[in-house]
Amino acid sequence: MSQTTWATNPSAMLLTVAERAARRTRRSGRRRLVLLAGLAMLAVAIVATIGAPLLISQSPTALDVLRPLAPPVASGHLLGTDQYGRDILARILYGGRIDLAIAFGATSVTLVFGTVVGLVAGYFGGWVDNLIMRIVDLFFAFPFLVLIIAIIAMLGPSIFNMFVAIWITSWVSYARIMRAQTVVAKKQQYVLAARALGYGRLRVMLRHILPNTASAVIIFSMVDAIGNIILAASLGFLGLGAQPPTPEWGTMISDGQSYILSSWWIATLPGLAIVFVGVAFSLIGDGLADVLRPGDR
Amino acid sequence: MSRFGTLPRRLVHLVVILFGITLVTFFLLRLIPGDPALAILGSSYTHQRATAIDISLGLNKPIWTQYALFMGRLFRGNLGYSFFYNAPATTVIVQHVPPTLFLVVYSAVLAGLIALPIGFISGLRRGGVVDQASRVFFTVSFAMPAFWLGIILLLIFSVHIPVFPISGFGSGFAGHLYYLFLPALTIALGFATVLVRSLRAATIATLQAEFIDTARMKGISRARVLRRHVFRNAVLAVVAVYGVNLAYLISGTVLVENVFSLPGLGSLLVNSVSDRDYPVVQGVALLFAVLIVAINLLTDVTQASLDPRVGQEIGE
Amino acid sequence: MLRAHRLRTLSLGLMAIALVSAGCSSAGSSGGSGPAAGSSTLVIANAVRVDTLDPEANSVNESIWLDQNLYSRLLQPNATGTGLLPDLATSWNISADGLTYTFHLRDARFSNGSPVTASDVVFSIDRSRKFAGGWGFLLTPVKTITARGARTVVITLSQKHAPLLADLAMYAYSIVPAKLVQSQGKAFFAHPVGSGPFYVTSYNPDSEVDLARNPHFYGTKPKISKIRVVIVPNDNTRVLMLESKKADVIENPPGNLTSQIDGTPGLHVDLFPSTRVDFIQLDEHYAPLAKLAVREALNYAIDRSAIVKLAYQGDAIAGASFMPYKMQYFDSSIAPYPYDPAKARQLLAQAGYPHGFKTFLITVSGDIAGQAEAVVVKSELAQVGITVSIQSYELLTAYAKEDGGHSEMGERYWTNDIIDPDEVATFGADCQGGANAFNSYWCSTQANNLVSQARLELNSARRQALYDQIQQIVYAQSPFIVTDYSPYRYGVGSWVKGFHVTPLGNYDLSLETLTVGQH
Repeated sequence: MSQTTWATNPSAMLLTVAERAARRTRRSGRRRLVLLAGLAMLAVAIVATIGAPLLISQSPTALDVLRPLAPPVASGHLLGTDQYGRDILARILYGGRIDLAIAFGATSVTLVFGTVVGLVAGYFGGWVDNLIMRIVDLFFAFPFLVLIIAIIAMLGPSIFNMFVAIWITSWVSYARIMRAQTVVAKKQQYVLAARALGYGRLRVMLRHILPNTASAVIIFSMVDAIGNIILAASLGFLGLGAQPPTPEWGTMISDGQSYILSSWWIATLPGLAIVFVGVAFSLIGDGLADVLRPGDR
Repeated sequence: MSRFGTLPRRLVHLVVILFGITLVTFFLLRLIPGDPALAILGSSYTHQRATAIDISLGLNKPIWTQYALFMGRLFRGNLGYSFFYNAPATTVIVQHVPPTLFLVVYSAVLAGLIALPIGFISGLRRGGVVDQASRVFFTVSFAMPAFWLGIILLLIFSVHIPVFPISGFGSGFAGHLYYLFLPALTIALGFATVLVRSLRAATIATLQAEFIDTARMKGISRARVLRRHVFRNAVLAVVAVYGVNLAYLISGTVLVENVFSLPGLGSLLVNSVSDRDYPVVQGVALLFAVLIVAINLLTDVTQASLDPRVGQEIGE
Repeated sequence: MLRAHRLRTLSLGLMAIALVSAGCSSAGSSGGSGPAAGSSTLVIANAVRVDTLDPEANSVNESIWLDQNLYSRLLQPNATGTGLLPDLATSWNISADGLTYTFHLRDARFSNGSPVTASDVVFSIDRSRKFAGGWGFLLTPVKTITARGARTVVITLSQKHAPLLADLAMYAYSIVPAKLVQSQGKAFFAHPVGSGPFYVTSYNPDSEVDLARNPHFYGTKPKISKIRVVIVPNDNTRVLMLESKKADVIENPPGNLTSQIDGTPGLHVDLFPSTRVDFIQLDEHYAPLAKLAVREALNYAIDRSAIVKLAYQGDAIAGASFMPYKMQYFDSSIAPYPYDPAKARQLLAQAGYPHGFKTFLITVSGDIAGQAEAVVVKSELAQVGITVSIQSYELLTAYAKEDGGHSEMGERYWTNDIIDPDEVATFGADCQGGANAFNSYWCSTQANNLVSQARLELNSARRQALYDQIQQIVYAQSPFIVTDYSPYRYGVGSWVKGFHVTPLGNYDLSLETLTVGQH
């Protein structure tokens, strides 16, 4: 709209404002759709991986030495077989259990731990804050890959140790976010009021600050979930994750790398599975961002 | 609180962190099973040969003595001697900086080139074609593991449609730009996702702010409003994103360097851990730490100078 | 709107320029990495970075093979790996008591033109044998090494030492110019000077090492004038380089791509017999493995042909004797244990394990062939009641866990550094030899004595008899399970004629006569 229209036609301006408000409502409806889409995709992934035995009959670890490297569809195996003749579809479905477990298990622990640490640091301030944030800085500055390689080299590669390695390295982002949020929140009216009323510090932290600031970390956790799946896949890629013959998406990509020029499906398809689950978490994150923080988008 | 009064305090923090890093790296490395003697001798390992190697490398001394000697050398600027390369660790590390540095800067620039226009337009024209299409595209690309994406790009653009070279660093500036395009693109796509989101959110938030309407009603042109407010807030958001992610990016180049056979710091770090080349690992870890903390500091200072409100929080 | 519009045009423009210039350079040149059209440069793609060019300190195989092109030794292994050829020494005399060796040197020069003298030889060998943790232990019986004039070197021993000539042919005892190394120290090896057929013109241990023909080389002048050794750790990338003719020879293409490479016109995969012996280490600290009957059972329960097929695409040979099959004194009369699960179950029952037992197998992560082998072993041993859990670790962690005396089963391999059997016998058959018989902690005084005797025996027929005995004992007692002998695998362009790798892995001899055609 041109400059003159604004000045001479106030009703036009009011209309624009109303239009904008209407657009916002329509958009939030669409956002909710996004959230539902993400949840639906995730539900599909969870059902498919947990219910794998009901969906397909092949075992993910059965060798079929007579039919290695069979291409998808043509050979009777929907997604083909790997170098030992193991069915790729079965390995993707069963392998998904590990990656989804990481997405939920690793993320939830780091979410809780990091949030608590950040809350404490932000609320108490002073030397507590200083100490905690210096430790957080230390973790941030340390090349996390060395840390993880070292942890796994010491503990031995296994799925559980992958969890441990991720727990040890991933909580810091949550701590930082939560701390920044808490620092701002504790100066807000509602907190000052609560303290004035005599509520205890713990109660103020948990009942007042946390609910109002949790949205940031929850949204971040969706992104982190994707990151953790990719991290688990990276560890599998480097040979530090699940042990043979246990299927896991990252290890499958790594194993399939040597066959990429002749049998592309072994490395490519598990990657698509990662993308599918990753997109699901992204959509959930987007949807949550709108539901929890309307007007930000 | 003056934003520059906190600078000395930040520098003290830097030193504390670096000290912590050297301590943790030093002891963590020695906890990993297998030592340099085993790395050197492999299948021809005998206890006698291993002992001779340990003595010559100073690894038979008590661990705290080794640490003290290491710190003493460090203060004099000496990182020690690489067990693997039989050359000073500093030389080895410096030789590996150019590919990684080029890759990181290239990725950051490519990400900016992709994300800035898209993020801006998405914010200005919410719900438009660019906005919708880019959301779909970036949601998908963000979920791709970098090493997997790298392999796919290599397959398509170096094998099936041979546009780009398969590996290596190339020579000369133009050569580097050409050779590193695919690896930089791989990293840039992940980076761009976050950039686009922040930029879009910042643009929208600023546009919706009440003062924009007030300014428009006062008759200030749209272009001027954009220039002064929207653009500025966008840059602020972008600086924050670059700052946080650039640090993460540096150590994240490892897997991409492997796929594209780039002899950078990432490959050096992984190889040196595998070969138990303690001095090099310690040196690279320290270098990374310095870079990450320096970038964080730079980001904070830039943000503070652009937005006084942020400056106050840094002092916390 | 204006600003965004400008930004968008600007960014699109930049990207367009980048793509166009990319297209231009790929069309206009060979991309900066192709060899000169013609025959004077050989491009070899290696999988592993170079550690050093200092022969006393080399520990990476690929670097060792590279070094062989730069330096000469007194003697060198021949192309079949079963004998020695003169190198710097044209002839040698051994005293009647076998304690004095006199070497006569040829008139050779280093790449900087200065002559190779006896004092250089003395300096180089002494330097290397004194290197901490180096290969000096091979030369323990050596008392003195002296130069007599400029062309004669005399070595005296404290006792007879049959492997001496083979030891001196080893890469660690390469000859370097004494004065330069003394004055420059370690810095010398950044641009070393040697008397081999090639010398280093550019050294980038992580990406590329360039060699040029040594104009002062004493032997046949190589047909190629340059060699580029490029370091490409990624397997697929190496294969792609061969397929796009950016490399002439590539090391170790993945086994599953052998048929693809062979099927591509103009390319093929060469398999060179090697001294590599793949075996499964058995730690006798684990009770079941201390019993001979159990170890025998394991041998019958494992189908070596399945391992050869699945792990090596059929390109390996089922293993019998613990010695590499391409070397002197190998006993070819020993046949691999046949696959007989029924017999295995019988032996297990005899040993007191009728229902088998549980054990773990350590493998190296990233070792494709090893992982395949582990899968096969696990399923075959399951059929005789032995439950194997596969533990995969990164290389050195795996080795550390296998060697400590707390292991059970583990995958390992051996390669020779010298052509003489003394080295493998000391490490594999002699529990006092320093390696606890390949970390099995198995001990046979008889075998120990035979190994020491064979080291002193200069008569080759008697030596053969001794090594035959040692091999029979190790075969019967099976302190470890010998699974197969696997070859070196190289992808080679058909325009390259004459590339040959000896069982020790050296290819320097073949580079003296190799040609690179148009491609």
